[in-house]
Order: sequence, then C-alpha cells, then structure tokens
Amino acid sequence: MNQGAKESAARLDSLILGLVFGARRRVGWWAALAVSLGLLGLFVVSIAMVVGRGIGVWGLNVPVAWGFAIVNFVWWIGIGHAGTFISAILFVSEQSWRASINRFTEAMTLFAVACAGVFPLLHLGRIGVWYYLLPYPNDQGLWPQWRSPLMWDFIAILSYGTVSALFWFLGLVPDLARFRDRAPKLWQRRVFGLLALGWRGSSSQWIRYGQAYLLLGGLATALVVSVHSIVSMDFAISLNPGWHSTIFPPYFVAGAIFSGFAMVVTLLVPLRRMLGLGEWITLRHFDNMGKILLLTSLVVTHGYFMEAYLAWHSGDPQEMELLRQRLSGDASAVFWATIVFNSLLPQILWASSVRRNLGLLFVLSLLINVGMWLERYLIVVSTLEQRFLPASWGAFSGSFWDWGLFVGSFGLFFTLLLLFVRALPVVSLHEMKEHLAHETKEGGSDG
Amino acid sequence: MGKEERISFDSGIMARFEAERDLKAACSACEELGVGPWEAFTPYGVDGIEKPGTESAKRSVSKGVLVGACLALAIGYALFYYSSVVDYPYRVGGRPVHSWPAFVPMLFELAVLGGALTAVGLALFGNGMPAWAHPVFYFKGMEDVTGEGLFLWVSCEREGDFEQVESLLREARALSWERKEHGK
Amino acid sequence: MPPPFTPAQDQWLRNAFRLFIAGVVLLGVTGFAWKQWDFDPEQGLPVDQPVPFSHRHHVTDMGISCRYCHSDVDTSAFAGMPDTQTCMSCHSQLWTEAEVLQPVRDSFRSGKPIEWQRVHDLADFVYFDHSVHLAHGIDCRSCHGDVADMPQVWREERFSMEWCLDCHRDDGASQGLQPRGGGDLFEGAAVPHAEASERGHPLSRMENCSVCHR
Repeated sequence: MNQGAKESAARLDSLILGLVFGARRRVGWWAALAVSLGLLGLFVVSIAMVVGRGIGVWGLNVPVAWGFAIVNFVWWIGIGHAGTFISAILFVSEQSWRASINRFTEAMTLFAVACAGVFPLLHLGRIGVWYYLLPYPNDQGLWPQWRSPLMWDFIAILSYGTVSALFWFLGLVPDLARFRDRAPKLWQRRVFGLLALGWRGSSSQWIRYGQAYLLLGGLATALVVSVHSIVSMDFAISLNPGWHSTIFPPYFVAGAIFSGFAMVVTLLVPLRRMLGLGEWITLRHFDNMGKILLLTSLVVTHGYFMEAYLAWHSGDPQEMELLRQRLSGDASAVFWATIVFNSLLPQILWASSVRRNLGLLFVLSLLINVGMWLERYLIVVSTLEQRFLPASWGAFSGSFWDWGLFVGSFGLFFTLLLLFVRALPVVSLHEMKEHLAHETKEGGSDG
Repeated sequence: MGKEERISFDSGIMARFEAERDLKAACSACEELGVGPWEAFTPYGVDGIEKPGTESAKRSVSKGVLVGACLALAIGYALFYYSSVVDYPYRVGGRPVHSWPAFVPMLFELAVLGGALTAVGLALFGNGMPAWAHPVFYFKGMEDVTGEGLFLWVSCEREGDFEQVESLLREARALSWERKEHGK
Repeated sequence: MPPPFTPAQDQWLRNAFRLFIAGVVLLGVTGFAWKQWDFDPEQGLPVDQPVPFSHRHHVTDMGISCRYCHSDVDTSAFAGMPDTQTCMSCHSQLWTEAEVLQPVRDSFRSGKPIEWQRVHDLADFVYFDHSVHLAHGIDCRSCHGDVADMPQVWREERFSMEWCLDCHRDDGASQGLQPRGGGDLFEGAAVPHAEASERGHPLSRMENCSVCHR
C-alpha cells in the first residue's frame, strides 16, 4: 500500500468504527427507527390477527386462494436476490467496485428473506403445524410430498436463507475481530470477541478463508439463478392460464435481480448521506447499478412480450381471454402500470446523466419497486380470478389486514436494517483494504 | 503448509512491519534460511506471501466443499428415495413413485447447502477457531493486526535462532520486534 | 492489549460450544429413537371404571357375545355402549345385593347413565366406522386385543395414525381382508364373511386422506 491508500484505509476504518462507537447526534436515525418500530407494531398486530382469527381476515376466497401473502413473498424474496448477485456473481467475476456495498446488500438480502419467510408460514393457515413441511419422525406414518413444487420452494428458501446468513457471517468475521480490537468498553469487546471466534488474520487463516469464501461465492451464484426459478415453478408447474409457461424461470430471475437492485438504490441513496459514505459509495456505483437495472428491465420486458406472444401463438381460448383481460379488461390498470414502471420508465437509464443523478435514480427505483410488486400481483391474482370455467370467475381485493401485513413487513425490514447499520460494520473493511492495496499495486507504486 | 495451530507460540520473535513488501521479503528470507516455522499476521489477505503448502491447503478446502456437497446430495436422495419409494409409495396422477426428475431441484439446493455449510465450517472451525484467548493476542500492539499492522512470528527453538532471526528482521526493515522465550 | 477473554474463560467457552453441538446432535438422535421406541404412557394400563366390570368373566367364563352389549357394532359407526337396562336384564336376578353393583342399581333407579370411561378415544377429526371394518372381516381383536381375557379393559394397541396405516397400506390386508388368526369374528357367535376375501380394494383408495379425514 502506498501512502495515499494507507490514508484512505485509515479514514474508512475510523469512519466505520465511528458509526458504531462514536458519539454523534443521530436524530435522523432515531426518527427512522421510530417510524420503523411503528410499522413493526402494525406487522405484529396483523400477524396476531391472522394467527388468532385465521386467514379469513384476508380478502382471500375461492377462486382466489393465493393473494397478498404469495405476492409479498415473491416480492421480498426477489429483493434479496440483488444482494446475492452483488456478493456472489460480482465477486466471482472480480468486479472490485462491489467491495464497498456488498456487506450492506448482503444484510439487505438477509432481512428481505426474513420478511419473505413470514408470508408462506402465515399462508399455511395453521402456523402451529408448519413443521409438517419437514421430514421429521412422526407417528402419522407420513412424509412430505417431494413431487410438489411447494416442497421444492420450502427447501430452496431454507437453503437460500441459510447460505445468505453464512455468507454474510463469514464476510463479517475479520471485521468483527476489528471491532473486538477497537471497541472502547470491555463488554463490547467481549460481544464482538465472542462473535469473531478468535480471528487473528494469520496467513494460514487467510488462505483457507479466501478459498472458502470464493467457493461460497460460486455456490451462492448458483442460488441466484435457482431460487427464483424454483419460486416460479410454484406457478409454472400448475396448469393455469398465465402460469403454465416455460418462460417463467428466467423471467422471474431477471425480475428478482431487477427489483433487488431497485431496492439497493432506494436504500443506498439516503443511507449514503445519513452515514457519510459518499467517498466510498460513489456515483460510479450508481452508474453501474443503473446499467444492471436497465439490462434486467429489458429482460423483464422480453418476458412480458413473450407471455403475450405465447398466449396468442398457442391459440388457447383461456390464454387469449386472460391476455384480453390484461390488455383491456379488469386487470388492465395493473398491467399497464407494470409496463410503464418496469419497461418504459427505466429506458431513461440509457443516458449516463440519469444514472448519475441520484434524485432521479431514487424516484425511479421507488417506481420500479412498485412496478415489480404490481407485476407479481398481476401474475398471482389475475390468473386466479379468471381460470377455465367462466362460471367460477371471481374478483379479489385485499382487506385491511392484507395491507397491514404488507406495510408492516417494511417495519421488520427497516428495523433490522437500522439496527444493523448502528451495530455492525456496514462496509467490509478487510475487503476494502485488500482492494486498496491491489489498486496501488496495479498503479505500479508499492511501499 | 500445515495448520497454523501446529506452530508453537512458546518461544520466538513477533516482529512488526510497515510495508507489505518488507513483510513479504522477511517471509521469503525465513524460508531461504530455514528458520521457523513462521507465520504472518495481516489485516487482509496479502497476495504473495509464499508459504509452503498454500496450494495443498486451498485444494483441501475445495475437496472438502465438494465432499460436503456430494454428501448432502446423497443424504437427500436417500431420504427422498426411502420416503417416497420404500416407506410411503403413493401414486399421484399415475406418475411412478420413483419420479426422480421431481427431486432434482431439491437435490440441487441441498447440494449447495451442504457445500456452503462445509465451506464455512472449514473457514472457521477447521481454521484454528474458536480460540478466544489465542497466545498471539498477548503480544504488544497485536490489536492492530485487524487494522493496519503487519506482523511476522518466527518460532525459535534452537540455540542461536534468536540472533539469526533478529539480523534477518533488521535487514527486512522491521519496525520493532518482541522476544518471547520459554517460561517467560 | 490482552484479549477480552482469559485462557480459562476461553476453555469454558469452547467446552460450552462443544456441549451445544453435542446437544443438537443428541436432540436429533433422541427424536428418531423416541419414534422407534413408540412410547405411549397409557398403552396397556387398565382404565378405572365406576363399576369394575370384568370382560374376562362375562365373555370367557359366561360365554356372552360382544354384540350382546355392543349391539350396533356391525351396523353403525359407533359400537354402542350398553344401557343400564342391559346390565339389569341379568343383574335384576343375579347378585342383586352385591356392593360393587350399587352404581348400576342407582343408575337404573335414577335413569342417569353410568359414566363409563373411554378406553379407545380417537381424535375428533378421524371418522372411524366399526361396521365397515366388521363387514370386511376385521375382528374385534385386531384392534382391541383379547378383551375376552381382560379383567379390566386397557388399550392394547397404540392407536396412532401410523398404526391405522399399518393395515390400510398393507397390500395383503387390503386386497383380501381376513379375520386375524383366521377364526370367527365374534367368539361364540360366528358371522361368516366368506365373501370378504373376494372384495379387494386398491391400495391407493384405502390410504386416501379422505377415507378417514372427511
């Protein structure tokens, strides 16, 4: 490392340590936490209602038996994918710019998966017997039905949550050791020391650690593609018009990364300011994320187009009727909002001045988040409203508790996120230092 | 390279360096002179610290992850086969009870899970941890090893080792060093 | 700066960590072992009744058929419990002064039925039908054990869902149901079900969820 890189590293070090141990006035943080805790309260009350009174408090009824719970689940799980994409695919492909945002986005993944996990459990209706999904020793002589995509989904989410947590924790260990060595109070040193497991940065440790982290990145790369593919199979394996389609897995994966990056932008624009990370999370990061948003938007648009094209090409009357409903029928408002938010508006990202305009990017990312939620709503609800028999068509609208759960889940998400930025290193110190050391070496001056 | 914990921290010298380049030079000097065993301590993974056995350590992690993934896959497949073919054969829609293509997505996820658990296990518990009060923590200034300090430990067991290592460290422009002798 | 833990604390923590891992493993192993053991605290324990009615005495010594008291067993879902009048059809003449039969006489006079304690109590979401089992040749002993030899009745079998499925999944049993042991359905009152062996049910129908959970 040359002198400049050393100073940069020291600056980052004291900044990140200061965020946790420094005494600064954090009016913004407390205000944000208060709002989040309020929403979390709504979430808890809504869960209590659903568990206490049963899922009858939702707007669900035959024929629409999948509603907000599934929409929210797919939406939250999709958001998680950007974090895994950044920490796994960009790591394996050696995109070093990711080093300053991957810790944060991995945390985002973890908390999004936590939010997502709540919804299928509530959707079961009898949350007390969720463990029926596990192959556990029972005296009913039963096993889970492995041929059901819902079991695939359960195992995929279980793996995804576990691997995300492991990946996050493994990356944290050397930084936890940093906190152990720098925390001002003994109890803080003990807490971080306990979690750091006695990391001491010996070269033997770094060799195994680096190799294991690389392999974990490779494994998580497989998850980016596979988890949302399996989520899409919940729909695609069924025979319903609008669901039974081979385009679903790639279309869902692209949608997941699209919505996830939108969420990363939504969160990073204000947090970067709040935490003073402007030097480390630069316009270049937003520029790159804008490009990824644009690319995934195009893939998703291709998916929308192919859905419509395949419906027309199949000549199947049910598929055609569903398409008609989406283009000009009852579902058209949601459909055209989806197209505008997810396909048309992101086209402004072709201009690099837009990709570097944080205010514009922030608004756009919010709209994309809304658009992706509407897309999932369209997929889940409009199909179920109009299946094969016109006699059994029906309409769906969410109840207060549907909305309460959805809005409340933001409370869980933001509470966890705010606690995270206050208690743990938001930027991976050891990766940034390694990155700085490399950069100066490539510049030719070392020592 | 064997595991680091096989190195004794009872007797030797812990030296601190300012520059990465000096540390690396000192490491190769140790290797050339045959002193040690030695171990470097750094705040991030430094490229180019040539320890004997680096490649085999990496390979052993890779192999472990492969074995972990295969094991999870095999256990998963055995579970699916036993439960849906042997113990609870249930025909759905005329499909065969051993409808293995339906198991593939889950087996894939389980293999990833098994590999990831092994990788983390090897990176933490197979890597000299947990060790909440490891002997290296007691050297002066060691709390900087996670910040900006570059350290090198050289074990000194034989007569004259200390002097040889100290001259080596002087040559490699070490900032400071601390001697530790048996029983002290 | 020394580490935040002393070597003694480190040792303690490491032991605690090992203990934790061992505990998790042990929990898993115990779960499966518990399952294999089939532990059921009430199985095989005689149930106290208001009147110490002995099935052994009435069936084996006296030769009374099951259906004398459980009269609806082959025609309805519930086997039927005898009313006090059934008891009194004999006991108005026999043992009229016996102390143990006082509750029977009280019930006869007041019209309030005797509060027999259930021995075989299935969960409410299980629709068990005695008549269909008898019609297909399952004798009483297959589930209730040798009640004819019980002074006081206990639950002989486990009565778990898996235990039901032992027969419902067993190809041999469902293809041609036979009284276990090949004898008569009711000791002393033969109801031959010769055609039972010819009525087979495909396995998949016998273990359909809705066969028992309607």
